[in-house]
Amino acid sequence: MRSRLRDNGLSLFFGALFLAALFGEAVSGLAGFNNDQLSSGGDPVSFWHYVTSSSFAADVAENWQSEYLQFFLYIFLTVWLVQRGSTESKELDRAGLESDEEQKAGPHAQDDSPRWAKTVGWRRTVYSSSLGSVMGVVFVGSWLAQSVAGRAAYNSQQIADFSDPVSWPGYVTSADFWNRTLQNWQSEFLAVASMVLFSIYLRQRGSPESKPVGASHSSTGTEG
Amino acid sequence: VAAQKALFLALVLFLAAGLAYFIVLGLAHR
Repeated sequence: MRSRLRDNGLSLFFGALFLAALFGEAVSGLAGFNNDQLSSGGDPVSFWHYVTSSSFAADVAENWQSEYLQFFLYIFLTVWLVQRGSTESKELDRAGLESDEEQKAGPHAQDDSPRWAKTVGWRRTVYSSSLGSVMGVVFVGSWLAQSVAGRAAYNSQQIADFSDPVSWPGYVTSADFWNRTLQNWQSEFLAVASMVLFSIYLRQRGSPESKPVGASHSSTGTEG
Repeated sequence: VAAQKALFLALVLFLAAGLAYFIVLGLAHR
């Protein structure tokens, strides 16, 4: 039991942090929502009503989409784009998809390689892009969810303000949708650029996200 | 390995259910 917890410490810890943060978001979001309700002459709503509202759904989905976009872009772009000295980059001369031998794919698969890595044809092609593709699918799904739920939340505000509701195409071309989207994207892109550049010169002893403390600034693709 | 697979499947199901839930909430205009 103890070793099972230890073996899965990273995912269990982040899973627990996620649930706690989501609950905190719901509690603080409810307080803010009810403040707005009271100041606009409406009735406060219950916790259950709030977490089943389009307003809560849009708030959660807009953050999800930006995180999955970050990983999607990162996974695909680091195939071809490199950064000298960064732990987030592979070695400079390995840019691209690499050979089957380097990737232990097809005829170069090993006994314990995943089954689809040993095949040829569409299964290996699909499996070879499965990590980035799943991140991309969750990104598109979250962004779609943000647009659908965001439109409903926007329209309930429009109706409360005696304004006309907007259609889905109207909402996805609106300032509200793009402002909510881009305020999340900008922070993700800044964080990625920071990680790429900071990892060249800074170290964190023991972390696989850092080079070993004594590694040179120019060594690329080495993890501690 | 069984525990890792269970966590992986739980995450996939959670994401799929979460996104479906958000879309249904949006479509229901709540």
